[in-house]
Amino acid sequence: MASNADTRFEALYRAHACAVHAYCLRRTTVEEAKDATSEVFVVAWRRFENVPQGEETLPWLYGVARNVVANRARSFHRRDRLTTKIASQHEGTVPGPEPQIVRNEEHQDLVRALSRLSDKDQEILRLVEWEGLSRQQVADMFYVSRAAIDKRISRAYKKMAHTLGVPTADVLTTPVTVEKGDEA
Amino acid sequence: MSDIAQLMRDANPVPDIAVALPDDEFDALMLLTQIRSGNMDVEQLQIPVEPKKKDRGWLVALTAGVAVVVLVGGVALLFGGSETGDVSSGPTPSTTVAPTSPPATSPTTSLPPSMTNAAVMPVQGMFELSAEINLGTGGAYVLDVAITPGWVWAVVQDEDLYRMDSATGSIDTTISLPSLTFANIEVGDSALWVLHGAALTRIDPETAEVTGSIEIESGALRGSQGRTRQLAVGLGGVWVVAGNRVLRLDEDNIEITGELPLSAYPSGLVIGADSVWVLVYQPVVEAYSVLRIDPTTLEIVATIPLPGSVFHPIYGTPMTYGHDAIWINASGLSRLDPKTNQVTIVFNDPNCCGPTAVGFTSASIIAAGLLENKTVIVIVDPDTGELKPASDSGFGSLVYAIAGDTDSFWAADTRSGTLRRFDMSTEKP
Repeated sequence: MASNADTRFEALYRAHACAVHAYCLRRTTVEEAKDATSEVFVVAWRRFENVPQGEETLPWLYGVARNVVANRARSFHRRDRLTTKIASQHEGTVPGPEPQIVRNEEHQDLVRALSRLSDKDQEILRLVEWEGLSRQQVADMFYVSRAAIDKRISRAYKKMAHTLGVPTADVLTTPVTVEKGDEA
Repeated sequence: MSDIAQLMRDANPVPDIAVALPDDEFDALMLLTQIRSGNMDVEQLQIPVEPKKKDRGWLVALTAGVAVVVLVGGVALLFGGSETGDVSSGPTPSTTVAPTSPPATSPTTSLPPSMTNAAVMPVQGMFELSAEINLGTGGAYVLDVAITPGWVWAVVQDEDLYRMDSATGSIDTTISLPSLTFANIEVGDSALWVLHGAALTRIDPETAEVTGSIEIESGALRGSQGRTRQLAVGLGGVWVVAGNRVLRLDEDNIEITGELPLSAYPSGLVIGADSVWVLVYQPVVEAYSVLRIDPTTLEIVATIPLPGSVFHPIYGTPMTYGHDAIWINASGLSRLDPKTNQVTIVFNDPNCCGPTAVGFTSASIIAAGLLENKTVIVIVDPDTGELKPASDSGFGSLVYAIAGDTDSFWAADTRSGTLRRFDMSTEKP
């Protein structure tokens, strides 16, 4: 007989597994994504009583996934450090899971431009544009104000536009109001 | 809306999350999650286990004075990653677990006094590189390698299965098979078996012709299991891990003749000492265990925990059988004595790497792994414990497969698509 917690956990999994898996898939390899997704829900099970309800659930799971993927990437690089070193000598780049997420060549330039942003800005853009979180949800994830997120996104797009050679004037930015102490 | 924002959305590698996780994988992943979290009935695997030991096994090995530990201690030294220190100063005792049988009585052989870390540093050209085969440039990924009389076989990811003349190294035959994203090859009495995706294919090693094949329901080599060996041949059958099941197939008719469902997803299997051995992660105690399976009744006759093991993705060859022992690469390297079901930790590394491949010749144990950012291959004499650090020999990536012969062995430089044969008769002083 399944316990109440089991039933609730299964409901949590069924509601969000695809989204969490997609999150992992966007940031790592196909193989790693499955393991990472599983790890996220193992964490969710262990901290089940702390998992927020409603609209806050998915951003919470994304936050866990972010850490899981980062930890696994570090482990990946430890294990594959020799390969990384050799390959980087030939290609001038460090191959890890990240370059594998976009296979379509036409998006390579954009991914390259994205990779020039800080890790945090990259993650914010992905959460907004790929995961479809609202800017307020992203702000809550990073414990900053909505205005701070607006500002970061605006700067990030300008930077990417510059990298891609797109005229800055073409990049419409959201007017922002920066609150004191928002800048992370 | 900015153009860049639209470009970002267009570049979304997973635009439709509904198709990112097909139904069967959705369920399998949930099962895996439940198993890992202990959120399911895993009564079969609920057995007591000793507290985890955090110590490095190579120190354990060097102080225990146990012969078996000594002989493989050199491997531990290499793969434990230590750079300095006197190996005779290890502070901790040996750790063994024998859950189903009384402890074995092991002979005591002291480590040679000259055995220091310096002795196990890689020595270039200890053995001659007697053949080298390049199976492709620009990313050929050698998944597995095997030997049949006169031939060496290798399978390259998303390309082909190759048969090469073991004397000349020249490619003799190229066999195209579907679903070669992941593949294992194993040698049976009269056939070569290839597990590729959900298919199991039998090949005549003499004619290189495909003589039979079967599609296995729910697939075999998929997901994280695809990284490791899930195929074994022997004891009157072909053994395959498919999802959380172990299947036995008849070698002649290639039909499934037995099935053992498990409450965990196996990480690998091997045949040896009249048993089938399956490596599983055991969530209740958060450690790996080895299941010993009766090949006739398909019953689990022993569940043997690996003390000190923690969950970590396993690559390459998780288990091998050679020199009368099962060798397990999970959170380090362990030796399982099939006579006693006793596990001896060679070394424990809960954070990362053990050997990525272990193979055997008639006289030696061969292990490959990383040492100071170099892939090295180490030879261990099973009788004396003497270490023969064979070569760093320019391997550019990890070695996920080793196939030993009588007096030589092939190692796959996995990501460069290169096979190298070392001739052990050419040992230099």
